[in-house]
Amino acid sequence: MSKYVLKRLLISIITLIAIIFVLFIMLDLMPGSPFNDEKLSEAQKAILLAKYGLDKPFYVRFGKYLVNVLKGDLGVSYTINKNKAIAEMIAQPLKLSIKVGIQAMVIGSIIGLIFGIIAALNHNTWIDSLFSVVSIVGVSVPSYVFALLLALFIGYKLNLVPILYNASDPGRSLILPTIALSMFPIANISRFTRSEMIDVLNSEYILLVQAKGIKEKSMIIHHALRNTMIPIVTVMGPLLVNLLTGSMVVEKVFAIPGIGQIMSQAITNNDYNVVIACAFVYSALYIIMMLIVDILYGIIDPRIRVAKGDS
Amino acid sequence: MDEERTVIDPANVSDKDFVFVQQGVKIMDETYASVSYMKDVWNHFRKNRGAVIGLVVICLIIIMAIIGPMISGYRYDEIILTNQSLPPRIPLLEKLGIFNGSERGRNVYFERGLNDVYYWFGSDTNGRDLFTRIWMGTRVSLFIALVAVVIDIVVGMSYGLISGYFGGKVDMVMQRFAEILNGVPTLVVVTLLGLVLPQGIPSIIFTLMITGWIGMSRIARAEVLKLKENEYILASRTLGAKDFAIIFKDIMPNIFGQLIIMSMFSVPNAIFTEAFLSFVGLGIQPPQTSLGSLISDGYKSLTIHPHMIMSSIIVLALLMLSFNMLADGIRDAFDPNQKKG
Amino acid sequence: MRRLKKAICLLLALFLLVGCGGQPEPDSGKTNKPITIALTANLMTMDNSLATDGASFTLLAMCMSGLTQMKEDGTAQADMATWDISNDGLTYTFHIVDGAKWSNGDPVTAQDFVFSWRRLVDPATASEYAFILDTLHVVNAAECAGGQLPADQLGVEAPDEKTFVVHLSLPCDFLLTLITMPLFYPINQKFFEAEGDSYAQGIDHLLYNGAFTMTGWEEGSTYTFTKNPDYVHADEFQQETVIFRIVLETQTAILEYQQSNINILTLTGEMVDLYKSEAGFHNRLEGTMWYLLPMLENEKMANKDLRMAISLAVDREAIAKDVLKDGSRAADGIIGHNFAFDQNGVDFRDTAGNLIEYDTAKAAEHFAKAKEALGDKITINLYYEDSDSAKAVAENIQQMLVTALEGLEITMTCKPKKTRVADMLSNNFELMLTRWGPDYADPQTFLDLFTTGSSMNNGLYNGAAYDELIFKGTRGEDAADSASRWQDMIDAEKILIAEDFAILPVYQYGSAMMITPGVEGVLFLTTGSGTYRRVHWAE
Repeated sequence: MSKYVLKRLLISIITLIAIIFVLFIMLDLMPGSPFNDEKLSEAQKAILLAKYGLDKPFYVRFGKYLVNVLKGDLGVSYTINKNKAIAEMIAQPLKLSIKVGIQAMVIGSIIGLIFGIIAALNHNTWIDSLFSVVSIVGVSVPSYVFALLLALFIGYKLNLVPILYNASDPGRSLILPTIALSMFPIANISRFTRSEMIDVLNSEYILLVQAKGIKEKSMIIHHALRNTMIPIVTVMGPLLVNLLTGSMVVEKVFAIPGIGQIMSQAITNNDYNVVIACAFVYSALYIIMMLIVDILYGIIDPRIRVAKGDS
Repeated sequence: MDEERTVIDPANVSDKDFVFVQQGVKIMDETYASVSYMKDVWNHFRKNRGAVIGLVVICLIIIMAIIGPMISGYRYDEIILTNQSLPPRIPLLEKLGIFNGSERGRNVYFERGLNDVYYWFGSDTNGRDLFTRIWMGTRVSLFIALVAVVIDIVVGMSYGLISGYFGGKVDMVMQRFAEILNGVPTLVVVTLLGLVLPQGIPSIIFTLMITGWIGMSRIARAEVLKLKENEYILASRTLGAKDFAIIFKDIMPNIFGQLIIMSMFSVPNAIFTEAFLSFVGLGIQPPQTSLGSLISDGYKSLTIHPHMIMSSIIVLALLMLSFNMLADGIRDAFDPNQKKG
Repeated sequence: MRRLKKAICLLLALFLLVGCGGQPEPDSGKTNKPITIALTANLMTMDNSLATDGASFTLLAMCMSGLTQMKEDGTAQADMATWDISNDGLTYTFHIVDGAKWSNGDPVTAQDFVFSWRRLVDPATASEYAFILDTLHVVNAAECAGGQLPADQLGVEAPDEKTFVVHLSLPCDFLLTLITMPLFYPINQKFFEAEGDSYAQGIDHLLYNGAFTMTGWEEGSTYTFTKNPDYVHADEFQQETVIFRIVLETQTAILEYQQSNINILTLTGEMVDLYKSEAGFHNRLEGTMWYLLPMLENEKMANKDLRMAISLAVDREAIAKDVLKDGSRAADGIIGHNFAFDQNGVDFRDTAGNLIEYDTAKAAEHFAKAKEALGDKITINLYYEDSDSAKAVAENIQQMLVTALEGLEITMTCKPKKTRVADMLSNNFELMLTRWGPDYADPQTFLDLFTTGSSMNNGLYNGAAYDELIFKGTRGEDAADSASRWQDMIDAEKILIAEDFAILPVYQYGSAMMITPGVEGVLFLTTGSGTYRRVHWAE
């Protein structure tokens, strides 16, 4: 197992380098530069490009960047936070975004699982239909609309919790964003759990379990849920990363200084270094999630572990 | 599931505890009329009430998308600046006190002297009829939904099936490729594409081709991993079936229903991606519109004129709901496990 | 259903867990409550030479001070220095006031200004505003900015600690107001060099000489300013704390305003309509001008009849009053109203009059002529940026044009601002909706843009008569004579707008604000900095 993990880890690192390479190429092909401002003269632009080493050929920049990344240096911001070290600039926002993302994911998964199971157990009844409608509304309404509605009704009209993020009171001020962001995972996971659960409940071994007279609760937890989990774990990883990228507008609504804000600003201001750094962080998170998912597969489903061992 | 069980004490079993079954029933082999596979599927589908309702609603929405823009008397791109941001007002219904054109307790129509003017779904900030725009937008969004599902099924599913089935090195290479593609955040890809591609439908399709199918491929792969060790696959292989025959004839029908459901989830995603694309300059060209763009436009006035976002969200949710019910029906109809004669 | 109940309990418990933070701090006292101002853009830098954006200028003006500061009436008054002007208007001598000092105790010296101004113009600093010293006609500024002369050849000097002298090559009417901009603020050289790369990267990496010191810096979120008791004019300031809060979504900002958590914010679009009758509503016309820029080397846009038809078919009044509704005003020329005034205080616009006409019948006539030259079906691409207001204006212009001009098709290109600017600079467009935010209150800031060879003349306008007038007025024979210079500007604008139709102005930007009743001291400036430095609660 550890050999397998090690191998996967190595491959992940290569994937990450490949992603940086792709990003570099894409930004290279992009029209304009961070410095295409109306007010800069040609001479100044040349000085700026030279100052940040952007006049060097592609492979030199790429090589240098890789070396720096290994040292933990992601470069400096060109425009949105002039000359600030990016590693320093994104550390706090990233922590904040991950915190909100994980909160939303945990709440979303738990509620989603519960909803899904209830719906599956009541397959083809009104309860099932009700949950279906709720979850479909959940995916059809964008999270930022939820966010604004929550701000309007719970934050403003009822005045229960603060609307805007407040660094001195993160617990309370992150409640609304967490709820807003958890809507999509709830809807997605509950739909998915429901259909997986129905499949599992129809399988022969559940029939056997039932025939053995095992209690329903124990049957669901010990027999059905475990097999339902495999595909669910698959969607959970990417969902979490999506929450981080997708939180952009929700962050905007609640004025959360998270990574989504930095990324959207960097993109609109052509701040290449920050775009690459943010994308790099996302990619790294994503690949780590995929790694965890792969390992979880093995834990949840022994058959996969055996199959992997064979090949 | 909670059938009552008669408790029998094993120590005191008497003859009375045994009853003959099927007494008086003539036992003979049943023969089913030979029905083709598709007809069988259709028969099952027909019996599913939800699925039929879903299908009907989708048809209605499609019909509205075709004729809706023509029946309100406004053009979708007609800007009437004096009629900005009007709330919904529908003849007849207004007498009941709903959809009577009031907002915050004031009748906006009368205040502006528009006594004989009706906007069924209200008007937008430029004074364009939302009813007409919503059905125009539905046209675009339905098309995008179709593209998204086709890409999901054709590209995503095949990719996942092949990757999962072959495993080993093939899987490794294919998964790394997908990881690289997916590892670059969609936001960055889409924005960068926005800078180089022109605005319009081909760009939207191209973007969805790049980013839309990976989630599906991952699910398909996971399903294959679950199925491929089953005995019936082994049997098929022993009987000499080729790999691709196994993938598409033995494995695919078993997971197709599940995947159809999942592909429905890519529909709103695709619709919102399109809305984001218009934000970065890739989406649909104004004055044309889409449900996604209508939602993101309406969002800007959500706290002031909630009607602007409501109608488009309701249409989208209805569309999604019926697609889901339909997908559920299709899944049940296709699923061989659920056929019980 | 018991399971459902359990689930709900679990859910509630989770939220309680999440929610068990500290309670918000109570107000420290009613008399000196903080004033919270919502900013709609992020702070980009606190390095005054590199600042380019509104948020940076706003925050810098809170905690640092230049030679002069803006008064309520839009004139400049003494801040760090008093001044003498030589009779020919070419030498400004500033005397640093006694008691001017930095937050580390160092006195503010003339040398601090020399260092800062040289740094601004030095190409190595790469400030986007390096050109601005040349706009003031500071001796050698253009050569220093272009790298032909070293920065120490710039026409500024410090004969002693307390005296800062600026030498000009031509008189400049707006020097005293322009230098209220943070670009011209002093920098303590010793501190700057000790800080190195970390200069201006946090509250401890800056020195303050202004009305406030920066006491809180939460990146991308909250910036706190506390009254600076050591500031020379500290007795003029009562407000203890001012907080800037970045809130990019106006819809939530307005909710916070209604709960009195935010005291000052800028409104957009639809909200203006809803709040315009409330007590805290304020409207202000800014100098920024939005205009349609035709690419004159494009075969279609080179046709003057087509340009005239477009200009005549756009109903600016409707765009300002019905589409934007934020206090914007229909353009009468490229120079806005209430922006530049001559020696006698008369508005430039009042003298120059209205150069723009809206007449769809006339538009159709000119379009018919254009069609004779260009064919019956003309397609033009309208390029604009992705801001809400630009989108609304562009969609309305599209509709106005296709309605008024039979046979015209308008395709639309909408890109983020940086991309649009990149395409503008490389002349890659047909008709672009763009804007110019003036740097100083003089027509020159606009008219310089469209001279042949100007890097901002992206429509490639080539007007010999126009160029001649601008040269005469800004650098030639009329430059030293305010009255004839003014007349040259008026004539030049007329050629540009009403004769050659090289620029089609659309509207002058107006902004709408909500200010909590009881908050005073917001300065509505057309140019210069320091809008919020005097905010305070009414007595």
